[in-house]
Amino acid sequence: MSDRKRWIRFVAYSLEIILLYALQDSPWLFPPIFGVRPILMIPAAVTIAMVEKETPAMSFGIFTGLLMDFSASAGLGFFASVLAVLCFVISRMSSTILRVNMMSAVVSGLWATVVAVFLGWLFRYVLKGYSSAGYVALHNYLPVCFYTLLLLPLIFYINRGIARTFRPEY
Amino acid sequence: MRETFKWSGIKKLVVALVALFVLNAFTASGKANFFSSAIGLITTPLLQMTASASGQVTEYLNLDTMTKEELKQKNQQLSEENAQLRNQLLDYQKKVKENEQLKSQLEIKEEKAEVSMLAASVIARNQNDVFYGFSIDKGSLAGVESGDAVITNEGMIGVITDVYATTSNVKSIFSEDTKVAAMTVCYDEATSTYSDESGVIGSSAILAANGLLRMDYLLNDTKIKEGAIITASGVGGNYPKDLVIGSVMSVEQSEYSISKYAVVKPYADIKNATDVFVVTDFAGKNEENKEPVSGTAPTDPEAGE
Repeated sequence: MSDRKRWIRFVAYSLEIILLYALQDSPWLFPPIFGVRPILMIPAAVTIAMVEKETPAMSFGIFTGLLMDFSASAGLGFFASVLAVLCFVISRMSSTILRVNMMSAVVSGLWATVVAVFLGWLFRYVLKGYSSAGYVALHNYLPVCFYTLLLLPLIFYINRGIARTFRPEY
Repeated sequence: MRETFKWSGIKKLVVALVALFVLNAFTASGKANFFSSAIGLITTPLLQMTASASGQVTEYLNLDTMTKEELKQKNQQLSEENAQLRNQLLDYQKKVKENEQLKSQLEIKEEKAEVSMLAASVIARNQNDVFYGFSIDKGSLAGVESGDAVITNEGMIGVITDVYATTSNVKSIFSEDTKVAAMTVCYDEATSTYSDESGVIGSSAILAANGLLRMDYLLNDTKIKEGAIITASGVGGNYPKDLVIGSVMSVEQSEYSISKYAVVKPYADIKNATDVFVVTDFAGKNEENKEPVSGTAPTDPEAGE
């Protein structure tokens, strides 16, 4: 019974990630704020990691990262590696030193989003030799982090809801 | 502490990271591969659905939120533009007639510019891309190839970079990676003659944010003026000749050399394009054009197209 519930939970997370991927990349859905749109995938991976053990958390981090890599039209593996590590660490922290609530979700989401977004900026913008890296960081990557965080509470409640519904012992 | 970092979990993470590193090395070339094509195959129908639904909602909201004043203003603007175009059309018809007469007198045979195009829809926009790249719903199965030009009715907007089975990624002409050999026809008032001037269309993050391009490597005494129409020159055989790009807003002195550059406003709305065409074939594709081009700027060793 618990095994079946676990698989239902994982299928629900997977469908949620695919749906968020489609919504995130949809050209007109989210109104731009300061000319940027949010990245929904990072809060999804982070909040799943908060309510799951490290191996599933890492797996969903990789799955989410692969979709982000595909979306970024670059080699697959970069965001997958970044989110694998972030989700692993957040999952371990949530099961040992963090209490899973909205405040900890926002704090974890904040630093994880900043780390993922700015590693993307470093490896896929600065190291590629594009111009005006500072301008882009300030006018594009930083607003993306804040816009992404605005949507984190909603995604946290969805994932905590899925975890509670399909894991009675939670 | 020992409990916090269990070795079994760390081992799994290390194995996953090594696998992802190998995957990254395998897929980094950007060429079509099994993994990317599989992801594209699974996600394309969903992306098409959400793009279509959100596009319809946005279109409805945009029309609904225009005030009466805005509609009046837009109507007036379009009427003025229409009158201007009517005058230009009259002039154009005279020129066409004159041109045909001259051609028949000189017995010039016209080369037919055959261009094959494929209609496609924008299904996704990469939120991380400061150069406004996007994905379209046509891939290698439809005959799309890497390097094909992507256009709208208004003009060129980008170049295909990655081709998967059912989707392709497009780098817009705002990208610093996209360079297009371009030209314009200039009128010299002193000699009352027309001449071609060539350059290279490129952009930067700051220009892209403002929706602008720049045409580099112009001569120091360039005759290019505000309003000049910039088209692809066809040099190099990468893009068809005469593909419209934009119009000149101003001509500035280059920061790094004695040459000048023109700030160009693209005709097409690159940031909001929905329906596009992929130029899959044209006369002279991939053929190196070795004919000298008049008015070409001196070769810059750092230029590299």
